Amino acid sequence: MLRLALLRFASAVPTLLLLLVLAFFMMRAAPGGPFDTERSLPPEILAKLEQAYHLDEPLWKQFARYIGGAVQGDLGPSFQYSDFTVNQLILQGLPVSLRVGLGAMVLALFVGCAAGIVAALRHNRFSDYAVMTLAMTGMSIPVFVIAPLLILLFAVTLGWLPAGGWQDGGLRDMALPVVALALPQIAILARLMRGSMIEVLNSNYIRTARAKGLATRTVILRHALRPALMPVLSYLGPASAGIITGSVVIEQIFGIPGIGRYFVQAALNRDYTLVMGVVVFYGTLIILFNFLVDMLYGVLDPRVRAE
Amino acid sequence: MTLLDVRDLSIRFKTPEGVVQAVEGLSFALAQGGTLGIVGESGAGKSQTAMAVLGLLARNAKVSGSIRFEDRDLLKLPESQLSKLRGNRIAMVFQDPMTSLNPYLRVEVQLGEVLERHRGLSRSAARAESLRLMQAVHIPDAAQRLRSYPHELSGGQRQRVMIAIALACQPALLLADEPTTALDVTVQAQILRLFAELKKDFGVAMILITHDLGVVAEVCEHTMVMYAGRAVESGATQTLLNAPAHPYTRALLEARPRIDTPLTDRLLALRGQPPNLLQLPPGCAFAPRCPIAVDVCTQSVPALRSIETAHLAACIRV
Ligand code: SF4
Repeated sequence: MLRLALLRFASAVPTLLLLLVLAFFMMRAAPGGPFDTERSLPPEILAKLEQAYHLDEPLWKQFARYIGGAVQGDLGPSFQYSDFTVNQLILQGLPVSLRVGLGAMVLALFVGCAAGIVAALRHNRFSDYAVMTLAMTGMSIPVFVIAPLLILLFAVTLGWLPAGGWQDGGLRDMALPVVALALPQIAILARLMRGSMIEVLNSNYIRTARAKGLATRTVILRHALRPALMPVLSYLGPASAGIITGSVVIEQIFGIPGIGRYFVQAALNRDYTLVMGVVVFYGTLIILFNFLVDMLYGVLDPRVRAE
Repeated sequence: MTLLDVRDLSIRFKTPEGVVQAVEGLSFALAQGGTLGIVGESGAGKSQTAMAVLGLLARNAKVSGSIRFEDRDLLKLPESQLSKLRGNRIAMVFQDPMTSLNPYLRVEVQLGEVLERHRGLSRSAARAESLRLMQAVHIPDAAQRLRSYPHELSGGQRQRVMIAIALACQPALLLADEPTTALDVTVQAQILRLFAELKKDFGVAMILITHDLGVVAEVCEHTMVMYAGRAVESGATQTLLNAPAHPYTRALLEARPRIDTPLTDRLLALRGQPPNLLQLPPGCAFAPRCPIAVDVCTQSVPALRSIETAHLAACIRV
């Protein structure tokens, strides 16, 4: 178990490094620069600015400087918000993004798993077909279509919820973005959960459990649930990535002051450090999440634990 | 006294490919403490018969006939009543001990839960009783093994755990479906010896399902041979082994691995494939493979009839 942890941890380092390299050079490969504006700046000011941000140095030197800072947790100054460092900006948006992201994750897990289990238990009957049809629909509609539809229905037509904005970050503010963010994940999780539950229910050890005369509840909860959750667990890594990517769009649509919104602004403005900072931060988060999931696997499966 | 009386049992499965006739017009009885071997190739309907007794057939199954157990028709009992019998009065041991135990739960949980469910024991009482059961099936270091997960046990030990679970509530009837097939030859012999011992000590009636007549010879007083869902011969095990009447039983006996017959002769004894249950051949289902088949064989299904006392066979030529 400890070996597994060390192994996974060691493999995370090159992944993160690769991410840094990709983020850095892809950003620089994009045309334009951080100080391109409608009216071009006088050359001497531009030169001063570039000097201040070390943009006049050769690329490899800039990269080395960036990596040097990043490993110490310093993601550099923002080009656009000149009074702030990237760290400050990320920390500012983090609580909001975290609320929405975690909310979506928890909602997706509960609803997705519950729907999947119901479908599996009612295999090939009406509720199964209903859940699967909804899931199929949910998977094929992109977030940027779902979100406006939700706004149209609940904010414009029914007037129950605000169409966007972030007043106090309460349930009213969160409801629509969280649901929009969770829906695709709910669909995927429901399908995954259904498939694995059906497989487990057909397994020999469930036949044994039934032959023991156990109550159906015991068969499901004690014998089938944990093994059926394992594939769901391994999907949590990709799910977190999906929610993070989705949040960038969702925060933009709903006007939520989170990290994702900075990211979009930064990408448009060629705010190199802020874009990279967000990429690195979210990348680390996803790697960390995958690491936790791997560890959880070990805790839940006695066979993995033994290795 | 009759413990189990199966009458005219038929099991069909509705599948997208058509109706599978798994069991057809099957009747047999088992006395209290008796032992019956059900022999046949895979697809003969042996396992489905056992699953029907347990009330655990797949949802697409259509069952008819009657299964009387301790004077109740199991086919008419509601699920709530059946689940009280399962693992309690009727227990089952399955073929593959590797996959029949839950890999996520400790042995003590899997053994203890039947005691808690059917005998109403407390956790701690169940633990003490589990220990006793583990010792009864001769698992060494029983206390430590109770704390193990299935993957930490050998195949033989896992099957012993399965047997301990089956015996936990002192069932009147034990169904064992190919209980030794997945095990090494030496372990097979040990498990068979255990069955013989348990039969004596616990007085439990047993139905042993196998494709191997050798296994039956060791444990069962009576044997029923099944082919394509029907009983084709039944009688005392010794009679069937020494004077098999049905051509299929004879072929099975000849096909058994023995040192004195060359392999080619053995394979010749049982040529051809088991029939397609979606579309059974007309008349005697064994006709396409039968060495002594005649034209009339394909005209109607031969009835199971008495050929001598307590010896039945379904073949027009005996
Ligand atoms: S009835 Fe005919 S085909 Fe069937 S076993 Fe007897 S001889 Fe063979």
